[in-house]
Amino acid sequence: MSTYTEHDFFEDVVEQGYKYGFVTDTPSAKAPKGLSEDTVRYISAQKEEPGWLLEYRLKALAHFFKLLDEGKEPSWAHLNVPAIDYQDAYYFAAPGDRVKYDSIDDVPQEILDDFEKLGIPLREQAALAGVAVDAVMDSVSVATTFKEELAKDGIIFCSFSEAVQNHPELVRANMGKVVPYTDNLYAALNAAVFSDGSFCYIPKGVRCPMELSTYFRINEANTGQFERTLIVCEEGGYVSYMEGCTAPMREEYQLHAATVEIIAHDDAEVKYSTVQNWYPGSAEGKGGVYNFVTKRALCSGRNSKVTWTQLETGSAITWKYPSCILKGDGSVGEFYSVAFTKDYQQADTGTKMIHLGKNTRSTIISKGISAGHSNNSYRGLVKVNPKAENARNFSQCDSLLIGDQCGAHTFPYIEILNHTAQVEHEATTSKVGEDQMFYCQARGISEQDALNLIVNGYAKEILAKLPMEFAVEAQKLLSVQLEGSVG
Amino acid sequence: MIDLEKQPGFLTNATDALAGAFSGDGAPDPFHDLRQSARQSFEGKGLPTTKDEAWKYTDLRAALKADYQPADPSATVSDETIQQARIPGLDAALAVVVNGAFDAERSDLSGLPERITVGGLREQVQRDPAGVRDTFGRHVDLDRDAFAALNSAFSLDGLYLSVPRGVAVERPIEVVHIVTASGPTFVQGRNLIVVGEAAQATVIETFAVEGTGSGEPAETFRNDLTEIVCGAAGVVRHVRVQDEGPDAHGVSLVQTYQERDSDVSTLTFTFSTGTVRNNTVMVPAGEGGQSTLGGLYICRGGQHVDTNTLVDHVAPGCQSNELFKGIVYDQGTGVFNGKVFVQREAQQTNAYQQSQGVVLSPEARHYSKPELEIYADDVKCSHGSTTGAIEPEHIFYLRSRGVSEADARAMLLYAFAHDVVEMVSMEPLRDHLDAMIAERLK
Repeated sequence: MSTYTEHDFFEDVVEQGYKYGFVTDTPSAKAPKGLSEDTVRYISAQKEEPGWLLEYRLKALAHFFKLLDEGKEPSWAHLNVPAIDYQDAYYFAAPGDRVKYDSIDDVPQEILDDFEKLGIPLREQAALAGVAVDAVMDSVSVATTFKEELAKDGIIFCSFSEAVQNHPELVRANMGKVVPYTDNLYAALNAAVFSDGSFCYIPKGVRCPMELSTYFRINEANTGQFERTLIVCEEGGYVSYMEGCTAPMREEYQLHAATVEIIAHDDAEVKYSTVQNWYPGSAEGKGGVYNFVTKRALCSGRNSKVTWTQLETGSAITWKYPSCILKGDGSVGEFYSVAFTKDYQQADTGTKMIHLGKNTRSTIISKGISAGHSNNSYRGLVKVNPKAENARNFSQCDSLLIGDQCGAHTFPYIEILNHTAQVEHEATTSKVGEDQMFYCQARGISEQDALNLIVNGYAKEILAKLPMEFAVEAQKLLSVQLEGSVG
Repeated sequence: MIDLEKQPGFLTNATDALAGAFSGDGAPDPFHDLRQSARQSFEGKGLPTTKDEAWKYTDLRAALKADYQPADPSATVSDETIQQARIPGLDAALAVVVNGAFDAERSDLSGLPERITVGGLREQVQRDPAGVRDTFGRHVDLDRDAFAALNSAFSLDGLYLSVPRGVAVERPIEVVHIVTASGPTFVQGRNLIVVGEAAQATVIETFAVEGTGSGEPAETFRNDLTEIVCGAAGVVRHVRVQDEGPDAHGVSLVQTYQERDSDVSTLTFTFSTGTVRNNTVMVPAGEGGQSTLGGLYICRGGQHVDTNTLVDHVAPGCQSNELFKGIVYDQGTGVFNGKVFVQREAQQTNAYQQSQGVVLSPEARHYSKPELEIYADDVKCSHGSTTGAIEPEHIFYLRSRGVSEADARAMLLYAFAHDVVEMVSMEPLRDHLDAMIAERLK
């Protein structure tokens, strides 16, 4: 990565469209189509889950149907979501006919090749130094690298299903604690049919020596992906966690309803970075992934800290609000986001910072970029509860418009219930400056390159917060997405 | 009161009262159709609850609990009450509205240019129904606002002002709204201000409650609607001062519609009230328009002031400027929800919005929701919102110069609030507002 030059950068820019749209041709085991108790039982049985988990899933499913019957699909977001037929999808698909791989040697070559194509090496000798990867295709975790090395420090990093088998007490004690299945419709759906995902446990006082990473890929047609990630960081622990995702190009939509829960105890620090590049649909707005995700962190301990950093470029529709509940005194929540939409993409994303403890601090920096016919909204809540003495928040939400057919919106909620709070929010909306474009073009930089330069500069503040491995990819991704946005 | 389940006859009684009021004057109500559809809209929607996104932070139940009776439009008030409600030292024409009805006898409309029409709205409706119909209720979105629908269905009277093309009305018109009643009273007021091409007008509204019988002011609930329609290159200055006391609740809507190159400003100062919701909707609908809106609310006791604004940029090349400030004490609650909407055609829009809240006691609350919804790219839009206590550094600065802590706080709050007063151009009104701020901050 270090040899990546500016020349390569612009070379990459020339690549157009969505380059992860290929399909891996591998046989797969699927649950029967549709959503019912039987589907849930099938998934649970496939994964050989304990009774309590099946019970939990069934309760969540009942709640999901109840919400659906009451018409409680979230409609408050600035999104136009076509009606979703929850019965017209598969809720479980295992690539290569297996629901579990005991070692990387069992994984069919085509799946390994697929991840290779995505730039995710699963063979450890080929892996990027210092990054442990959990790769999830459709409903199954394919491989997790560096497990043994991490285990030396007492760190548990494995797929969610493995954690259920090997560390049931940890899973049971923490799962659903931050995002209960009653939270919202998609959280209920996820709790009922979640297939796989990552589990990460950092013991007391351990600084995770490498970046942990999960790579999600939807391969099967007409399949929803419902992964669940749980990160528990004990007192004084530290972990940096990255998440990437892609999907093949499909005419029909694919539903992705994930749940991420983070629990940070005293003095623990968790960094969660996402580069979201699900298939955004065709340029005419056909197909694409509906990305309805519930991500939330509980800073339960004193001086704990959680940072969400995200680059959102994919998905036809994004509905996502990574949040922090700042419960511990002196805890810190941060949210850095770049959301780029083009063509007919829609994004309604932001964060919630709930200040409960004393001396809690939060920072929100959100940059939206809209092009084409897309709509891009920031929606956020900063709430200072009555007991949160001396809480501080700073929020900045900027929007950049490229073209006159797109929309950029800001919906911040600021609720102050304590008189010692200091809360600031500012937002601006403007287009790419003509003078900036002119300046670049006058120096012989093409219009497209100039736009790349300006937008990357605009987003740099956020991209720089991503771990190095992601920062380069993120920058490239943004440039590829920008292709064709001028004129 | 307007709980339709408990009082199924309320709307019918109001309809009868309204019909009686017009037929008593020997003329039918020319707005029968509009009122019918407004009534249907209101009955269909019902009153908003906190489940409605736009009413998330304001629960009207407590304010609507009293057994409100419709105000008696034939009531009279004492001169003393009128004088007390006026802005001291302001040289202005006087329009008096008692219990929602224009009181010609008490009003003093001298000193205004002859070519303008000013007086009671009801009287004007009977004199020139076609003329009023051109503007009355034209720009109000009844489906968006249940209270505007209720007002449109049953409002009786208020001020009508029409300034023809090219006439500048130098003398401000002061509208004094007084409610007089012995028990809980529900009042609706409606003003229509039509300013022609290159014409100018200034309207100041003040509000008061006069008690009868035992002398204690009765609990009141106002539902007011003011429409301002401004022609090309016209100028309108509109200021409201709300200070009726802690038992006066209400909902109001100021709706402006502006043509090319016009300049309209509407400001609201809220001092002592009960639960109040102030809606402002400004539509700069012609190129080059300028819209200014602002307000100050100082909440004490259990006071609740909710400010809701929408600037709807439908035309290109317009500017809007918004500044709202709030100070909340005790168990007071301040709410600011402002939206700037820029439609696809409205290129070259400059929109600026600023809201600031100061929270001064442990039980005080401040909610703010500044929104931008933008569909045009060649625009400059921004909003800023701050909420917090007084900066300790600022207090320290003043204290290190020998100012006592109490004085330092008062000074800082006064300076904070005075920013909004700066938006008013009339000297006596500014002095009056400054004096009221000082009084309120004591």
